[in-house]
Amino acid sequence: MLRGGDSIINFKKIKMKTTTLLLLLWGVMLAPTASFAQTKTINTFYKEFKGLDKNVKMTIPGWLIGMGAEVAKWSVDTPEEKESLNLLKKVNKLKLLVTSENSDVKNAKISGLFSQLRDDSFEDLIMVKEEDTMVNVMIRGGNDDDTIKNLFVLVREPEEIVMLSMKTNIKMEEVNELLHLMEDDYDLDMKLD
Amino acid sequence: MKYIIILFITAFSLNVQAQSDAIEKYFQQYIDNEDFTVVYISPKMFSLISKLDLNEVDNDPEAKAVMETIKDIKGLRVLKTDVNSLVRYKEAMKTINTKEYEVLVTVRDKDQNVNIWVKEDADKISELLLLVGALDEFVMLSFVGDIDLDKISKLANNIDISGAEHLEKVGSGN
Repeated sequence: MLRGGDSIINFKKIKMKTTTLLLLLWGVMLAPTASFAQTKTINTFYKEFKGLDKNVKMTIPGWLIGMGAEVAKWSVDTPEEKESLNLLKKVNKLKLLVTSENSDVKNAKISGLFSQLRDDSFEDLIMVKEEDTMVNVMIRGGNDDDTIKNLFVLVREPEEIVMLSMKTNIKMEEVNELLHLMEDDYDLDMKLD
Repeated sequence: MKYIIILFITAFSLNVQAQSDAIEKYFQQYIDNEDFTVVYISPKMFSLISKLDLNEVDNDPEAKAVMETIKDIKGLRVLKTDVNSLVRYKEAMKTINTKEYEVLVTVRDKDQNVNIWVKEDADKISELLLLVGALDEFVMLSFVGDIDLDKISKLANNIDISGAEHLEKVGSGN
């Protein structure tokens, strides 16, 4: 016997199924159009750790970042902010992994990850360690050396490891354009510290 | 058999590394030590920076000098601590291979000891090493690349690390 509540639940279920289907279609449609460089090492590392309980993980596809950036552009005023958001649209994919467990096993795996990345044409950009926090930034460029194809940031703290991996299509000229815009308004402070 | 060959090659390359990079080994020692601040800026970073084309650089002679110097630098390492600084300073002084490094500047006053060495590679300076030992601070700074002393001395006041101002002295005419 159908009660009033039942019909609502069924409707929700159908709605959810359609949404999931639509999202899947989006993903499937976009996948072939992507011309990503392989980052198997990062993906493997990601898969290994995303299984653990206390992790926060997300992979944000480019189109979502693009949409977010487009929306954000409405609420910022200055040209350099708009330009930085434009740059953000050139991010094809963003992977974020935050783990709140830290062990020696992990550190060993992380150094393994680094050597694999280096084998995979990733280059160290910056390494900074202060007290108990260590930050590594690595980059992989395109063939012409003027494009940034992958950016990898790892922040290691005693209680938390944050990994950020970006696939982009940002060209150095675009970074320069952004800097020009910023220069016009602000004094560039060139300090190494 | 394959593995033995690989082992040999790795061991050999590591050894070669150690000979030319005593400083790097020294740095690696302290990476896990909480008392130390470690900074490494890679050749890739410097080449990216030099690709940045800044209008302001043309207007400001000081900024222009900084950019000029940066173009030739291949890497920067900084090691810093305020714990047991004088002990660390003495340790570090012992590790400097005087056959490879030549003293350029030595400053000693009541507050601090400063030493600057260079490593030459066929008439060109390939590394500049700065060591500062004071009561409250120990700093080790290493520039690797095609070092032009005059340019580095101009850079000295722009580096926000205490002790780096002594780099001013390496320029000619000082």
